[in-house]
Amino acid sequence: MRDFFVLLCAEWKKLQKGLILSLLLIGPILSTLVGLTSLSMDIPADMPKWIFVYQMTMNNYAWLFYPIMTGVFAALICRNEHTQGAWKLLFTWPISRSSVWLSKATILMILTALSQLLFLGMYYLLAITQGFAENIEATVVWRSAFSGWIAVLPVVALQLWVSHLWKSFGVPLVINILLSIPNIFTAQSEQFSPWYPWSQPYSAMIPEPTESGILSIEPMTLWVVIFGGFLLAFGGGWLHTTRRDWT
Amino acid sequence: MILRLLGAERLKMKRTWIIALLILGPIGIMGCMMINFGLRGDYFVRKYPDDLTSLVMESRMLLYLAIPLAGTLFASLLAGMEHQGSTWKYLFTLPVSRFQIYLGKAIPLFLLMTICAGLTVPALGFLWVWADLSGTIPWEMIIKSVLYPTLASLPVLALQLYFSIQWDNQAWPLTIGIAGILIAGGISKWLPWAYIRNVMPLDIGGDNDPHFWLPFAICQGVILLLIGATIIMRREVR
Repeated sequence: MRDFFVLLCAEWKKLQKGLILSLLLIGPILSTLVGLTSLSMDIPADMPKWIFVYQMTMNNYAWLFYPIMTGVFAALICRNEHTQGAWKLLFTWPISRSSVWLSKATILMILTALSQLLFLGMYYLLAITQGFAENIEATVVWRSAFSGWIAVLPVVALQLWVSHLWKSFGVPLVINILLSIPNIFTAQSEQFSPWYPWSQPYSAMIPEPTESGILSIEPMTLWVVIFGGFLLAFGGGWLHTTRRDWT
Repeated sequence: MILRLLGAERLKMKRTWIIALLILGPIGIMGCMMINFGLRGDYFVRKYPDDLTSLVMESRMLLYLAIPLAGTLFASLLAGMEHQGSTWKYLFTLPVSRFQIYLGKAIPLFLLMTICAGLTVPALGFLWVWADLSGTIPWEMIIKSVLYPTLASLPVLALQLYFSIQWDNQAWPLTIGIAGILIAGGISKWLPWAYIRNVMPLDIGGDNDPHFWLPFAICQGVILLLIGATIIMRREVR
């Protein structure tokens, strides 16, 4: 356990903060700009303004950008080790390979959570400058962001696995983008969207003005697709990392 | 000389993910469209006036994201190959001008996109038969609706090639490309990522006008390619 915390600190130090922060900010800033342009559209009469703008901002962000960026961050945190052949070095230390895997996974989860926080932050900024901040129901938007984060975890685990596997930065991204593209259709389809892991962040982030629960995800999807998918990818990656020969 | 450079590029591409993407891309597009038509085919009959419109409109959704994303990935993979082995220096010491080396990356990128488009055309033709759409396969329309967005993505290709060569950390070019395609395309019609959305060979209203956007995009693509080449030619190589 101590290994894990030491490694976590090391991973945190290895992150290039400026780079990470600017990469994290691009998406939220651009989607907020889309939200800003949506203010000039006709807002449906039965919809409060804040929820309409949230929906427009969230659409562009969660539909494809968030799952794809998860892949970029996964590749980014494995990049140092790949380019400098540091995997071998890392594994000669008296630390378990499991803690290496766990620390990488934790960092990636932190980064995806930060992305959600920055997204919410930018949305609030937009709301304050446009003067509808006091109408926002905080529970709805926070639940949406939190559900989105939970829903992206299977993608986190799978991307970490494939990023461990390939030296090239582009290859994990090719896999991620190929698997994310079907979102264009599955996100709208009632038969497919509960079952396709890459469309979960979008489905989860659709704001639902209900009081029930801290997650806006169907229990079936949550346990089978998200939890099951996460366990499968996380366990597979873990076993593979600890057992494979590193070149 | 340029032919030999291209030969070398072809050799480097052998058995890499570039080839996999080349084949998986069109297959993926066909698969998505088959699922889409399988699930919502009855709805399209009501939504669109005829089968041709439904094919073009539905594939449009996919193509205007898939084409620039494929271009971004190809550019990153082509340049990443050299970054990963730190071989830019060796390349630039060859008795070939830097401009030709830049072209030696730009031409394969364009060819890969053309091959991808070329494979997508029969894939959509197959979809027409599979989905049991009425009449003979409208090859001309299918070719246009794949070729126009591919040509309109030239500015994006030129930009991405430059970014991918400029930065050795591929996180930058990929993030800019992805954000541009997924989000910035919707912000303004003048951004390079937005042209692809406005070149459909059907009269669908809005800003859609291939007669204006297609030449505009091609010219801008060539200009951006030359600018990128000039910057890289003057750059110090690490």
